[in-house]
Amino acid sequence: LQIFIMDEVVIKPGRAREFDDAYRGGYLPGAEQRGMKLENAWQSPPGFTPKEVPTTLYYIWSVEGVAGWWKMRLTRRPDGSDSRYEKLAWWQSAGDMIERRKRVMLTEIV
Amino acid sequence: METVFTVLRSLTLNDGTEADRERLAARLAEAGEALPGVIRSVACAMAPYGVINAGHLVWRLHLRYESDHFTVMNSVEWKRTIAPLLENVTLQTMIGFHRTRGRAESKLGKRIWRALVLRVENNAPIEHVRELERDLSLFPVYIDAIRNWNLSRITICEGDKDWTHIWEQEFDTKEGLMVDYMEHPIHWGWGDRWFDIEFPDQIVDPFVLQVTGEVAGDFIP
Repeated sequence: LQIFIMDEVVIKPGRAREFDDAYRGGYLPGAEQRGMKLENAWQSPPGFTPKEVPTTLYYIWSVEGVAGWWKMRLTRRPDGSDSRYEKLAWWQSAGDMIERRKRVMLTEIV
Repeated sequence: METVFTVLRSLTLNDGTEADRERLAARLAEAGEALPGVIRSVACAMAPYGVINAGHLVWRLHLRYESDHFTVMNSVEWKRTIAPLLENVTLQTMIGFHRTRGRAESKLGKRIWRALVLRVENNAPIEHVRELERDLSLFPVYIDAIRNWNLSRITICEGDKDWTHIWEQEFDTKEGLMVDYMEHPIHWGWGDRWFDIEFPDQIVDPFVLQVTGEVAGDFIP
């Protein structure tokens, strides 16, 4: 079972590029360590980024099966530290660029 | 459904062995039966799996009304029989809750009981709290391994957190909890969004108390 994780992030006008850089530079490395693979990224409006209205970015990640999902989800490391707070800190640091966001888990239609 | 008010305590022995935990659980269960207003007194030591931030054992009293809890605490019997048993024991958490929604139809033999005690954050919108409760109540519809269950709001509490909810289930086997429950998509793909700090929907404090034990008898009343 392949499980997909979609971030739908509505970005304040004119800041989509800045957010995407921050996401790929600051969020992606940790996510990859947790076994998440970035499959696709899209934007709307498509093909251009207006400065006057928000841009919505869609990031689709995959994890391998339920075991992969738990690897992504569980945050306690063997040394007792907890990466949960690093995840939270990243989302908080990006909060200024975000109007609103959603995260959903997806599978193929069953 | 009869009115039941449950008082659940998570306890830690200040010293002693695993056998001492089992022994204390048995003695509390027995002594609790003689307390005034107690319908049932049950206890279990914690299992070596399925626990988060748990103490060594859980003891629960089933009462008719919340006011009976105060009768119990002020009783001569408590001072005479329970207080000495708790002398070398730390109370980690105590919660009290009415049975509100759930199912306790199957009177099973030996089985696995698991409870998640959680705190919904203070600023959570009430409609989101209701959605969380609705979603958890759907778990038993889709996870056949859940035999008995209860979801309650907590009305009295003492311990690490201002706990707001208890979500408890009973399973025939360990696999019922560790596989059927943990791996079902309603868990990881739906209900978890209220718990995961990465979700904007998250309203549950990430510090939770999860207790699991092997039990028999009327554990969920």
